[in-house]
Amino acid sequence: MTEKGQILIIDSTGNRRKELCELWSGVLGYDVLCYGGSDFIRFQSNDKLKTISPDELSNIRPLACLFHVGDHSKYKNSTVKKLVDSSRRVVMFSGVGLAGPKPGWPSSWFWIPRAITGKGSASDREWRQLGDWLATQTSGSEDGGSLELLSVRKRPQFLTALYILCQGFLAAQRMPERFPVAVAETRTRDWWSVPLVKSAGENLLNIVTQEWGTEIPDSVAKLVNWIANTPGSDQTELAEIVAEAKKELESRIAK
Amino acid sequence: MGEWNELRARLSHDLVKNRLIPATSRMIKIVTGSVVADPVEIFDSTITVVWAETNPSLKFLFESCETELSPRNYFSVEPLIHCPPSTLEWLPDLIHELWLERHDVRGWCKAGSELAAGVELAISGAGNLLRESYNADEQKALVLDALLRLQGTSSGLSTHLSLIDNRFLI
Repeated sequence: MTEKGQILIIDSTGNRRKELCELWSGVLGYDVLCYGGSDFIRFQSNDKLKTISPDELSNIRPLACLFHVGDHSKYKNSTVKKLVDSSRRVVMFSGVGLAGPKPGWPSSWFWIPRAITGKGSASDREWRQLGDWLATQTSGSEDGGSLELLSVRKRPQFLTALYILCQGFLAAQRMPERFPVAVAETRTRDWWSVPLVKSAGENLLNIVTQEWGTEIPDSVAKLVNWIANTPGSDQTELAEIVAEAKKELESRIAK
Repeated sequence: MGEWNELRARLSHDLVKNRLIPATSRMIKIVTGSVVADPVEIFDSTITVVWAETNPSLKFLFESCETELSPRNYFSVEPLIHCPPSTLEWLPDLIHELWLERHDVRGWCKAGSELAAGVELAISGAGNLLRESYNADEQKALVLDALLRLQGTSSGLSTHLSLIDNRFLI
């Protein structure tokens, strides 16, 4: 058992349960107990699973219970109920996301708005933040609610817009006979900056970096700096940068 | 775009995967005798009810897919809403065209509609057999056959509904 405490995962969907157990145990370092419908298992790794004895179960007070909505009927089982009720916090999740509480949930339970299909449903940073919040003390009788930390992912508006403009630029250069006016127009800074800078103001690079989430690739940074007219960006070789940036944007948006 | 995808996820997960497919499996158990229950009553109260709820939404889903998912929609929201009229004359149509070249959206809709029609046919076939002649022993094999067909088409529909992911959206 780790000092971080115990996380109880109740989920009958095998692959997702395995991924969440690996995440909370291997990546985040918690003592993970899981239940898929038969035995309570202590998960240390995929090769190291140990059934928990009834004696041990009666002494467990999990830090949190992550409870799959579709398995709510298991709450009728007295052992499950006892463990869930003794958890400091109960967080409900679903494979398609949750808009609100379901009838019959105690008012102290929380729910995750975002669809949880496995480890990839949130970044490592978001999972860590969830762990940090679970570790905080509850102030007496806490009211449950929507866990905005894992709110529904917004589509990256600026990355998408940038990707669309890249497509327009490349098509205009490739098919000059079809878009005779656009060939020159798409090479002007105004063509790119009017929509983007009008919405983002001076924060274009910051917004694009934020939407990207991790370190922004060189080609995308160069393109954005050129659009924002950042000093030193005049020498940008547009055709080359746009082709490279489009590829990077395409794979990022598809994630 | 978001609402369309929410509807798709709800139909796929809540109705087809979690209600229609388990209800069909239960019906197969009833018909093969491993579960004792009134087959007609269970069929009507589960499969017929779920399908009545699912079918109109599925039709809307497949009919509206191309319009709702098209990247053309990005030109009616920030930041591309600020594109000058000269750009709006050619770029939205081009982006839509390139999107259709990359993804077989129309094929997905057509295949989805066909699968839904297959489920509809299987449900009506199984329902008619159950109501008309379930008590005749020789008809039980036909009922089972119809339910197995329903199981196959429902699984196909469920898989099909999960084929659209983020890559489809741009």
